[in-house]
Amino acid sequence: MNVIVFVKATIDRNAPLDPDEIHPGDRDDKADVMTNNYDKHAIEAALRIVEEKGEGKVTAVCLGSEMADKVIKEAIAMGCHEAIRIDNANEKITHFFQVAKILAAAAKKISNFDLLLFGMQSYDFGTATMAPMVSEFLDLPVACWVEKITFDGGKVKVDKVIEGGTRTVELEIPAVLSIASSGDYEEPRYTSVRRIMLASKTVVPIWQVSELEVEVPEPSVEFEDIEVPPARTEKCAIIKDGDIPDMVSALMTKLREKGLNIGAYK
Amino acid sequence: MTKVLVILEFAHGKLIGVTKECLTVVKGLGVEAIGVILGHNISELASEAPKYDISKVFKVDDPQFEGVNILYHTRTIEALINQEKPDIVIAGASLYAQEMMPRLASRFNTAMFASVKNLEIDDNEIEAVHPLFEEKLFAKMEADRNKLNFITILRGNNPELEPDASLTGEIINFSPVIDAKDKREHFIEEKMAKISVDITKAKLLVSGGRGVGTKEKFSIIVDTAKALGGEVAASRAAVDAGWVPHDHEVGQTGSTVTPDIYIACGISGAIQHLVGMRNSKTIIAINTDEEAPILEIAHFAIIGDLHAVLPELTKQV
Repeated sequence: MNVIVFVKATIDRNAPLDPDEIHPGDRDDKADVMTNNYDKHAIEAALRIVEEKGEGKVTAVCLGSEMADKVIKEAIAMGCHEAIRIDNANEKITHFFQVAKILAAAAKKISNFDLLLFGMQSYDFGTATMAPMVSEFLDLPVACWVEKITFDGGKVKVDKVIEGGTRTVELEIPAVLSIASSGDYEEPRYTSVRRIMLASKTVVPIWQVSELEVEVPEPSVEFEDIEVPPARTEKCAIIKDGDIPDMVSALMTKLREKGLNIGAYK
Repeated sequence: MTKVLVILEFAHGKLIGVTKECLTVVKGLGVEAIGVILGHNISELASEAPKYDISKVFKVDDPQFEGVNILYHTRTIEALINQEKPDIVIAGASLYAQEMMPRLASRFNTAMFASVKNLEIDDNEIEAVHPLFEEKLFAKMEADRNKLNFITILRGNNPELEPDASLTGEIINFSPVIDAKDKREHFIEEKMAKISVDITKAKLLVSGGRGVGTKEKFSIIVDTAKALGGEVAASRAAVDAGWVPHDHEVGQTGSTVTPDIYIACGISGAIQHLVGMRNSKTIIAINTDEEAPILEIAHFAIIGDLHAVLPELTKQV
């Protein structure tokens, strides 16, 4: 079974946020870039599927600039057999619609796949749109928020999260899945020193969008200003470094000062 | 007049909260709203929809829609769009809508407004705000209002629309449209957790997360809630771990709550949790980690072990 897993480079959770530098390619310090954390669950799912089948390979695909090399190497270090970076340095990509067009074209070029896997959303834009958009462009069935995967002949059966429960559906292969951060793939594996060494020596092929024979239209929706929300006028009153009774009593005092009575509900 | 097609989603025989939040946004636009509802044996539900200011409700009532099949829904709504020619197709950003709407928009080869907080329309443009980096930044998005636009409205940003019993509308049957290749998806079953409490009505919630530690230790949350006269709430992590039933869950896959007092215990504050509780009037966090994101929205916080803090809190109240 051959699986393609799409990984995204985003600004690191611990890096300072700057509305003018929201893409990894805007930065020049690699420490500011991380693998979109949700994608690690997709990598875990991809690796386990291939391990359990005992045949096939996992190919990681990342659309990004040189700053994304770190992300693609991490995918290899986790165990992906092959990896490709699609260079976006010369592209004017402003909407995730265009990204989906490019990723669908990349899957077509790789061609020999049974499943396309995505993380359930990204840390930066968080729209969770990539799996359903790519599935439509490739005319394949899709299931999102997948927590459990089993196979039956040419079909994949999945449990997916819905509000208040789970829904089980069966899809014909090839299919597109987005993997939940809960469920069977909740804990992505760690990389080993040996794999990190291997990844550092792996030469990752770089594809240009122009090689993918895809038309990337101007999107009908544009992103305009990016703004920092107004700072909270009232900061959190933090009580720390004391005996528990003293801290609780300090909280009670602060609540009373605000006219709040936590005991009013008994 | 601008015509808006609203995807009406339901669960347990009622329109879901995020759909009603979306309906508030639609009502605010002053447009002609039509709706589509898909399922089986849904006549009663469909007849409720006009009370939310929807002039025409297209009802797809068919045994093939007993369970949700994304491909069936996409194909049928595509046909309805081609027939009714709305300017905007909109849905509350439920997990279902986040799966179906991007697929539908892509079928019309259209970029979409995905997961936006609000929506404004003027003579030429549609504008909306989309949060980035778990709401640490916000992006304005813009599109030509004279083209077909697809929009999903994020939960927790707008009040739910209250039904108005005096409003009436037309209920129109719409036949399913299913292509042979849509049968590549096959619905098997749905397992829904039992609903035995309604935490959305509680004035005080004591809520436990992963930091509580174990199922046995979760009893401290239950005991404190009981002592303070509140109800027990939980994050998804605590529900997934089996410490507490799903009907206590707050957040993206649980309830949206706005109590007077929300005491978040051992909850780090993932965005999926925050969307369900951030409009609580007073938020008190009890956490060992001063860097936890919950502190960014909490009004008060004690940095300490919840297992020591909660009994003391009960004692002092």
